[in-house]
Amino acid sequence: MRQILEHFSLMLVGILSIILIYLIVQYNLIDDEVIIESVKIDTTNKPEKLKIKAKTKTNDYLKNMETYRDVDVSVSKSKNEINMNTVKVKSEVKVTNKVSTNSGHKDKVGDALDNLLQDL
Amino acid sequence: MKKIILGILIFSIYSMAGQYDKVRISPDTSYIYVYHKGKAVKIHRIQNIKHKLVGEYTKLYKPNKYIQPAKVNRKIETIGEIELLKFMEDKSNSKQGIVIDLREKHQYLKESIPSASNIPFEIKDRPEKLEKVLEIFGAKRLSSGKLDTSNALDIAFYCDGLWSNKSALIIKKFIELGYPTNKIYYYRGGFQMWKILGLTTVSNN
Repeated sequence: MRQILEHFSLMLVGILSIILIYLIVQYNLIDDEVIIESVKIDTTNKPEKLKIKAKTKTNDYLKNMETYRDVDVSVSKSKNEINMNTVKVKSEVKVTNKVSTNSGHKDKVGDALDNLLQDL
Repeated sequence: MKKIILGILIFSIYSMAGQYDKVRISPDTSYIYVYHKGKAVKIHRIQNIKHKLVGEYTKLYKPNKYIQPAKVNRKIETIGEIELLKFMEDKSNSKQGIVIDLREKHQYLKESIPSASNIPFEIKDRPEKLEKVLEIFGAKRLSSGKLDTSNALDIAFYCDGLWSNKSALIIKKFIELGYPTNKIYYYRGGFQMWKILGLTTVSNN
């Protein structure tokens, strides 16, 4: 009996360790500060020529900005939106016409607004 | 041996218990529940501390759009995320208030703040629709022309973000129509700030 209990305990420890590792990976429980090393860039010894060139470039850029009249700024196609914290919710109100719901929290105002503003 | 096992057990339970504790809403709140279209939605923040926002709401420049003042009217209360969450818990969940998204319909359908209903900004130029909206909110137009708002809902308006004037213009319109200023709230941060803070959104498609 005691042996069985010991085996069971060891198995439990193993499983819990795996769960622990999974949680660490899933929720990034290790702080960034431990991994990231600070990098200092020395800007004081930058060649004069380069400084002037950078300034001219900035001025040109700002001038372009002032005359910019496009409808919107384009977003890089390579960066698609990641919906990490988006919940898909479908209205229960439409369903309730056929099947009764137990939620008891129908969104009557929202439904009325949806009906009224369909053409907008 | 027993002590080690017990220690690991306690640590594991502790680790699993605080699923939303890493990035909290406030020191004592990790998440709240609100009703959206009849279903309970848990609002929390994205727990991945390395997550970076991409897409439409990361833009810092919008043509012909300017930073909006914090106050749209001296009688209208401007609120932040914490106040909006409290509004949802206290008012929206008990059907005493409503959160209104003034962005375009396609934007709302794609993604919105939980518990919000959509009134596209274009309604500003549709007085007949606006009157009906007031009715839906529980306001009654009396024969004298005055608006009876004794049973009207509290409303929290939001639009795209700090640079959008949609909320300010609609709030002005509501005040002109007789809606009481103490029943109107302005969430200035809008959808952009909501996204930046990694708070839960809902897809209405």
